[in-house]
Amino acid sequence: MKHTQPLFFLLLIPVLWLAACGPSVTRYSSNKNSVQTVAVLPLAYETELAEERRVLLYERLRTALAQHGYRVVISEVISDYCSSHDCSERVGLEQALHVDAVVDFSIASLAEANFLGGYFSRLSGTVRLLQGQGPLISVGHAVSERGGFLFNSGQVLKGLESQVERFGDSGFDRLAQKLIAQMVRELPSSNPNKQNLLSLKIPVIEKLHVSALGPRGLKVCLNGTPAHYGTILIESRRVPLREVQTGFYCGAFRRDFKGQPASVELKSTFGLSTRKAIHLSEEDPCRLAGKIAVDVVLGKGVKLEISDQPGECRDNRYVVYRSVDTLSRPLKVAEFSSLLWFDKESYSDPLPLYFIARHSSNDEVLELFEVTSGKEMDTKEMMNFSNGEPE
Amino acid sequence: MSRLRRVLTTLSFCSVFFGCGPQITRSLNFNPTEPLRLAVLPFLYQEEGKMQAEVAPPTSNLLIDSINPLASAPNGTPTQLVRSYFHDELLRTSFDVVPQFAVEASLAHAGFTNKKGEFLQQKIHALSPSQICKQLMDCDAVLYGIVREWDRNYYGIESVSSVDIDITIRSARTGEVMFAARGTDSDRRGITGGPTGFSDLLIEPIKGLDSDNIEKLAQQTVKALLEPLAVKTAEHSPQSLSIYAVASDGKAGVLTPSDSLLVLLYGSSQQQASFSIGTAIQNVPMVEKFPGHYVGEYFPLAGEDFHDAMITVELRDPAGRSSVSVVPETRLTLKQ
Repeated sequence: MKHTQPLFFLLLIPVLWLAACGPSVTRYSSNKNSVQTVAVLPLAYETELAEERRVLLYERLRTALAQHGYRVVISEVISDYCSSHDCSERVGLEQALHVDAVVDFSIASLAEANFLGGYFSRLSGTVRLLQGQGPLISVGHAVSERGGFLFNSGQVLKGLESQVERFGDSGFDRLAQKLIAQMVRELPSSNPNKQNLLSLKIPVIEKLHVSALGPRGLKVCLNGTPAHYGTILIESRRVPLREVQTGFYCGAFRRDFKGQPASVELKSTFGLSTRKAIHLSEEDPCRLAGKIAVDVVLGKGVKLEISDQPGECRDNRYVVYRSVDTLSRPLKVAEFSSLLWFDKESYSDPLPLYFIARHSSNDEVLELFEVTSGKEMDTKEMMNFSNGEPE
Repeated sequence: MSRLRRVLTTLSFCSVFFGCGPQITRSLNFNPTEPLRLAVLPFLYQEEGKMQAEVAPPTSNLLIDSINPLASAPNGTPTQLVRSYFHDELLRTSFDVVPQFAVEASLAHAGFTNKKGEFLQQKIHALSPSQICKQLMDCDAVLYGIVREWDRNYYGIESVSSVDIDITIRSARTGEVMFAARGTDSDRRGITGGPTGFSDLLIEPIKGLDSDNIEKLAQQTVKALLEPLAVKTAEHSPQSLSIYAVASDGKAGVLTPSDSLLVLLYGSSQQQASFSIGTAIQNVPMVEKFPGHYVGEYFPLAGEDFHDAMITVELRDPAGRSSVSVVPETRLTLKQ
């Protein structure tokens, strides 16, 4: 007995040492389809974890999976389907996004001890690849890090250095990277050759519109590739756009953001994106400049026609003024709100000068210009126009 | 006296090595808070002074890498590892990194691979950023990286691992260098580590050759290189993040398409505020009108619909911490 006890411990220590090294991997034989595209479910955690650490772990896993060769669904899309780890729409997400598998990541424990002579931290977790209703592979692992003077007694200066290096949260970050890298390495690798053949469909932004939305709002819309993730980037802020119709994305917010440098972005499920710079000042959709055609129709008179007038401008009122030459005072001849008006009093020879003033619903003059030349005039010049009764 | 001199000489020798951190040179010529899209190209391996880059990056494996309990095998070639560390560290910056598969697939589609499927790195590095971002993929900037040194050397009572990494980020629009950085660092084990005994003096240099050490060293160097681009982390942002009060004019509970909803927040100043209505309307931006007073407005758009939804406001600091609150006694329905 005296001799067996030390011998037992002598054998046990290296066995435990070696056994603790690698991740524990369970492969399930039921699902064997190859995995190329994955979506990562929100992180599950059984221990107290600050939000920044949860975000860090989640993003580190996404990066590691991408480096392992998978195409990973962007996190913004995941949050549309799953707000928490217990995602009841998981199967729906798998089908809607056409992913081969979803990745379930859970953190089981985190222990951190920091004392004067050294430190010891341990992080454990599990990554599971789920396909359909069942798991494909489960990898559980724990990593630890120790350092400082006590745990580096062989190298005194190195020990002190490691204690200094552990400033802030870098110790946790290193631990997280190590845990994730070792677990992801055990996952089946995707077929890179096949992946290269997959077409890269970069989304397209066709048209941009910025318009006023009432007195306080600003509306930004874009036409582009449908079923993508649209955002507007105002400085470093990301504001999601909503796909209000197929391929038509809009967002609305207060006019306070007007004039700020911005760009719109359309991103695919797997992170391919396209951007366009946008100037956040509304293009007034009711603006008439360049939209009025003057034509002489024999037997009918002079035709004034407004092209492309959107429905939102119905509240606007248009007043037409006419003068026979540049020296005469323009007289009010008509008021209309439709797209077309005929001046039956005038004929082409000589063509009179027409002026149009656009009035808002509260009778404010918004625009004034000379129709034939298209020249825009200062609205103050309205004072020189006669407000006689329309003919 | 001579013994004291010897001790002092040894100590100063040790302190010189101990005090040596990574040597970094950087130049920053842009606003690092811009959320630009960055494509990270495959890295080159090109030692200083050599005109030609290695066709295939060296694996730099040593015999010790295969002796399992003593050391661990490298997790990839130096260029692959360094590129992956950059991908990891770029998470801390404002860059929106183009997915690796997209970069690789675009390069492969454009014929920048040989018959074995390996990237023709020199040809790739000869491409201008505008060619990469306009013709191959859609991006705003390109990161070109070169590993100039990846060495592990053994000298009996001392082992030295050293790395030298050189990166340049160029704008696709102007072609100008937005950020350039170069970092060299070394890790020494053995006599300069201050061994406590003779056995440590012999064992530590061998342990120092472990690939884990050089990988950790490269990770630290990459982190140091990107330091000026990193967004503030929570520990550098001691200001508390509080929401003192929230209110909205949606007490009636029903919105029509011609209405709008005004949301007010009073909280910590100089942060980013936004509000959401249920899960349908996310992150409507709020503007800080006066210090700590934020206002945001929701304008219904065609096709939107929600029923009995809660209004939640969020205040977020540059470190990514957030504080969330619910507008009390307000459940909202939008009737189209």
